[in-house]
Amino acid sequence: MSSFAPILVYILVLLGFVATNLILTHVIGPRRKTAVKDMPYESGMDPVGDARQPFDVKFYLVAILFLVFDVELLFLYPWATAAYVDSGGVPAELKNLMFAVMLVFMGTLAIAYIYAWKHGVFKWR
Amino acid sequence: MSHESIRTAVQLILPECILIGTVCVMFLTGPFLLGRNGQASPGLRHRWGALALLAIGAAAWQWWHTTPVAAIDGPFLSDGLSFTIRGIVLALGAVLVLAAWNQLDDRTSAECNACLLALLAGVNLTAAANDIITLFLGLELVSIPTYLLLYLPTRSRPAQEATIKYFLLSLFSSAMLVYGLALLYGATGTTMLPEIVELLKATSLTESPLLLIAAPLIAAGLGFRITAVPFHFYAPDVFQGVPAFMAALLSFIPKVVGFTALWRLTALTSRAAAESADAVSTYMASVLAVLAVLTMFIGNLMALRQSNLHRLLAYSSVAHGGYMLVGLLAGGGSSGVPGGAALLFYLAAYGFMTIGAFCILLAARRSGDSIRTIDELAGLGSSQPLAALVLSVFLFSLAGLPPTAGFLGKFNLFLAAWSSGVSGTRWLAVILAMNAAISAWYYLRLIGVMYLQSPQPSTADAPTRNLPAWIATAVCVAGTLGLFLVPQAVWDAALLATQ
Repeated sequence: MSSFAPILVYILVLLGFVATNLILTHVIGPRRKTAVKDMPYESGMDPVGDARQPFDVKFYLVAILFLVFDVELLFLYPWATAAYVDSGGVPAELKNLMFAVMLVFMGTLAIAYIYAWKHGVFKWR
Repeated sequence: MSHESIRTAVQLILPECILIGTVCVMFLTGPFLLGRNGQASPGLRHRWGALALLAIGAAAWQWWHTTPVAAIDGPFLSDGLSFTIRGIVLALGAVLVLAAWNQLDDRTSAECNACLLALLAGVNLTAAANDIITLFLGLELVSIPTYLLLYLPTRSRPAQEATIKYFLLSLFSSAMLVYGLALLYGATGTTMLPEIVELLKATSLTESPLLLIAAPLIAAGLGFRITAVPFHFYAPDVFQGVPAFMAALLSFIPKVVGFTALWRLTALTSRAAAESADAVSTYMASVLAVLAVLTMFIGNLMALRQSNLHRLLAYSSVAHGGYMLVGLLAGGGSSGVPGGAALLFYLAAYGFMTIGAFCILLAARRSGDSIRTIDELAGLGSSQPLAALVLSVFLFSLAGLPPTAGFLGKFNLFLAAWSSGVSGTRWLAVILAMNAAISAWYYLRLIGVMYLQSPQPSTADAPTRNLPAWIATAVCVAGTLGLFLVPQAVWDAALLATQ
């Protein structure tokens, strides 16, 4: 049972942190109420009313580009941690090949990036 | 996986590498050729079309020089099926580029041509897949460019409706398919297709109930692509809303890719039949047989009532999906005509006739849009005799009458289903023949409208001929008649795939 003691400590610290923060913000936080600030927070959208309202397509574009680079990281991490270790990683004869494959992968992403950039996705118009 | 096997894997997909490389070039240079205000110089689409044709030509040259390699452990394989499908798809892909030529505007033609090439590469990768992961990747490489192609060329409200319908339903079908594939992997413990096929033939349903769920999910996911009946609802609406070249593409490309995937996954076409009556592949076959009967009847009966030509051809494409399912179910067959070969031959013939029909509807008009309603066909026999004659050839072929490829194709399917000797497949053959008779009514009615009714007062057409669409039509006429007169080469290739 004693091996679970660190987890118990961790949970206690966690709950303590949450409780302290909640109490402290209520006690010492300044309160200036405006109509906008009193609204429930809903990721920048109006929380009351029809949820199916159109909003600008540039949000989607940025979100999609974010996903592209997110996925890129996802692929780069396993390769980066396994490629240049002495044992247990990528076999020696495959190291150069894997490097080339990663270059091809980054190259295709670069093409997508240049395409989006040239079409003005990064200008917040 | 060693250095050598990775190199072999890349060599197996060189034609697709050429296509994808061209796609990258198009996406990279396309935006730079536009002006500062996003407008393109007039005639830019000719360059992109020519580049696309060049890429398909290079891929076809590479395809012709591939030698079948026994790579059983890699992600790709190069066997008879992938050889035949690649040939059919590259030839008809070039026709689709020609059909699209004047329906694209200069501003978006780089993206549209790139999407077309990516989609062709996707079909070929599916055909070359030896692993359910590469199979799914190939299928998605077909789906995603299709969404773009639906909306890029025309931004009208019907196109919007078509795009949204296709997009959402296609996503659902992909999700179902990937769920089915995940269960298949869970049940068999491998992602390699040859091993899965062996296991499906040997395993009975009671041993592995997961497959009881996986089989309908896979049938639904791929049924969407081959427009099998409960999953066909999008077809008429989408065909109606999109430009003619897209309707031609949607009637052919998803079918090829769907049937290729079914071929690889279901083990129905391999020569040795299922061992026992409750094997998974037998269960799969009975699911697909129900779909085939429904698809043939509902497709044909609904087509009888259509007055919009795009909708009519959409239901006709549903019905043809049913005919091809019969070929798949007729299987490898230890005796008689192999159903797989009949299916492949029919795919080639169907590609030429359906794409040709859309091409001539497009080419007969000079305004850039295609003929869309039956009323507009009236009197075409006297106002444009050549167009009427060509359309008649395609309609004869779709109805399955000689002297066209459609006749030989249907004949082969019937023979394959009949000679397999199983009573269930014989019933399918009878239903196939009945449906061929039903379908003749609405195809021949169009010929009657063209030759027997008096022409409508003609609207002023633009003075230029749509030359690329005429070339595409000519290729399709050559294909439709050629597959009847000299079918041997294609038939040999189709037979090679079943071995």
